[in-house]
Amino acid sequence: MKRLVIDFAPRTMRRAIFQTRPLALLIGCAGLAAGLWAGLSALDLSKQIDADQVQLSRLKGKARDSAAARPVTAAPKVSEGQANAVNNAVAQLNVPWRDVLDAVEGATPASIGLLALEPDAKRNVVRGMAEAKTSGDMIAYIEALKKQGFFDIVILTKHEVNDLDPNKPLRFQFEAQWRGEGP
Amino acid sequence: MLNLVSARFSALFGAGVRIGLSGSAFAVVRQAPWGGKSTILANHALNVDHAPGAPLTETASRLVAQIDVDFRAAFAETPCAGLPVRVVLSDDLARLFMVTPPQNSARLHDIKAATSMRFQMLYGDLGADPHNDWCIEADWQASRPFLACAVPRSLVEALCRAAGEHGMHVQAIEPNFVAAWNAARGRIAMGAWFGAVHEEQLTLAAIAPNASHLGAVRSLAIPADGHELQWIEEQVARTALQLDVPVPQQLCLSGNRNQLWVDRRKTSTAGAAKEGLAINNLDQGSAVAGTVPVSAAVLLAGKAVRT
Repeated sequence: MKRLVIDFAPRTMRRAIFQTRPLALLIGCAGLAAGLWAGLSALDLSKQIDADQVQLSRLKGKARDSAAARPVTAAPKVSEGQANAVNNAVAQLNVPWRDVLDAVEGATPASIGLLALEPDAKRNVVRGMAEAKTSGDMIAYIEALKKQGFFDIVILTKHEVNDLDPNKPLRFQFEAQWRGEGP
Repeated sequence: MLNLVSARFSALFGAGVRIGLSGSAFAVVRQAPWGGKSTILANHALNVDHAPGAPLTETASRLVAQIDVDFRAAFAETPCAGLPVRVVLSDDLARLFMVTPPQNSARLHDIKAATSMRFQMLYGDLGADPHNDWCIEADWQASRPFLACAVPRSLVEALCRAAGEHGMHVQAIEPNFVAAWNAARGRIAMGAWFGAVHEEQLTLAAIAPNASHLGAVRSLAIPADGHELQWIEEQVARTALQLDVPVPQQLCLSGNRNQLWVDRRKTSTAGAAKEGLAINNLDQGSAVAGTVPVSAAVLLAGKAVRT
């Protein structure tokens, strides 16, 4: 059966405390103590955070001061000629020799005598000089170079018969341009 | 000072003062902590002209004048300052009635207003102001009828004032029926009715079948032949007819004098083919109804426990 709650005693704080069961009172006291402990811990942590903030701002200020006091080292002055020379040297060093040689070797048959290869790093161009027995071999060689994926453009720039040679070979020059890395 | 601190500390572990007060008797029992021995500090009839039919407010005003004297006498030799006091009033000092909450009630204030109106309708003779002259408390419910109780305000104030003058504080003031119900509610069988007996008064509680709360309450004066089995059976049957509910098979009783009905039921059913209303004495074997005969007021005081 359900409890009847009828009581004429005045509602006072003292009565409420005595009406509370000891276990509930114990749990309440434990909760109060835990809350108090948590509050004090939070206060300590808050003070610690404030102290850390103060130290952090002090260290930031110090770092700013030391950065401001550091002398700015002047960049070394380089003349235009020197800069061009350095850039040329860097460009020469950056020529993709392995790819150029692979492409030329892959397109050169035994009937072609390759005499010289001269790169021009500024224009991404390699100039070559070769000899062929006939003009057909020369044209086939130029076509073979064009088919190499590495080169974009292959141009025959000059050709002549070498009369000084008893076999009368056809000496010719060509330019092959590869795709640059971009600016 | 040390005694005061000690008393307040022991009060946390069950020490306290129990007072039983009826229109004709007064008893004070001091309870030791940890369920220790109880000591009867006062147990005597009151020198109050308490007529059964007299208005309750008049009886209360006579009691108020007597209470201070009784408190002084009870606590003269055994001061109980710092201890909590629990008081049980006999049902003849209270008005018990049922209230049906209004359907459109929205706040507790509405239900309290309905309770005041119900009290005025039932007992409002009287030219008395229900708000000034009576304390009304109830087991407030919004969805079902609930029990309400009114006690003369002067009586409550006199008890609180007298306790305060002796350094005690009042922790509970309950009518006998409420204290008995709360103490016995776990032992009331489903479908049975409940009755609280004190001296020549029976407060009968009807409980609907399969319900776990009070359905209706009737206060009955026990006549000279009231301890015959026939009387209690008639009262239960009549109340069931009035309330239009089935007659219960069992009646659970708490208080003094109910053992007579139990014994007569045992005698009447020995060898009888038909069984009537089964009567169960809930106080049998408890500390309240022990082998040593005690007065009705001490029995009242014994019910002043926290439940």
